[in-house]
Amino acid sequence: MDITATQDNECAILALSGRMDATTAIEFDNAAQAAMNDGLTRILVDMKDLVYMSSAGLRSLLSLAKTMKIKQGRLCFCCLQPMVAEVFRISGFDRMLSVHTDREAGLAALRA
Amino acid sequence: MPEITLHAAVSSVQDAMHFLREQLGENHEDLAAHVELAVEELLVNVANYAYQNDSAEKSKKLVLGCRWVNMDGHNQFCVWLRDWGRPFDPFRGASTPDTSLSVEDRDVGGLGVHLIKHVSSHYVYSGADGSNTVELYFMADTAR
Repeated sequence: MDITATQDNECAILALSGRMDATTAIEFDNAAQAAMNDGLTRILVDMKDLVYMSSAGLRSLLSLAKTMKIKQGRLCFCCLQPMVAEVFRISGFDRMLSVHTDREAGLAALRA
Repeated sequence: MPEITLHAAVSSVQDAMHFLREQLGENHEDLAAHVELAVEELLVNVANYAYQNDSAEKSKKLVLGCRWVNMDGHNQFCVWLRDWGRPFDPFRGASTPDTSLSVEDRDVGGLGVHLIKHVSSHYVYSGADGSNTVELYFMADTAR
């Protein structure tokens, strides 16, 4: 999995590509931690190029979501591809998390 | 029947995925995501729990195999995974997660078996002769 971390005003954007599985989820954990270490508490996870996610990925996302709740931050997701969207749906993550169709909508939700 | 022997470790996920993609070929990409997801979940379970009381790294192995079957008149891709760790049926007693809960109320983890059940058409466990075998079946969209 490749992760491109950028910043848009006070929002961190983590763009994921490839596969988020039991061997790569740790890379996401580290990228999210780095954003929080920079003092950013609004994070958008762009999944436009993420083609696969297993329960190890879901574990990382839920852990981050819990951390953001404690920090009173905001966490949004956008651009889910079919496989990832299906995993979200089966697990109820599509209703539990803030999921948006495109990056603009995700950023707008972060700033709302 | 094609099969591959792997070290029972999370790091074997990539070799398992490569094996599955070779076996499925380009004609079944629709099936590949479900098969890969379910096998990763099973493999990680075996890697993390099957050999917990076994200190000999060398003996921690699992075998992954597959075949096409005709079940009740439908073509299905069958994947099986066998280990020689402690007897364990991953489907017996596995609690169903409440997917309607909020972030605050949901427990982290416990989704692997839930995903397997959703993406496979049948799941079977059998324990015999000191081994655990899980068979998963996936319905093919097109006849072969």
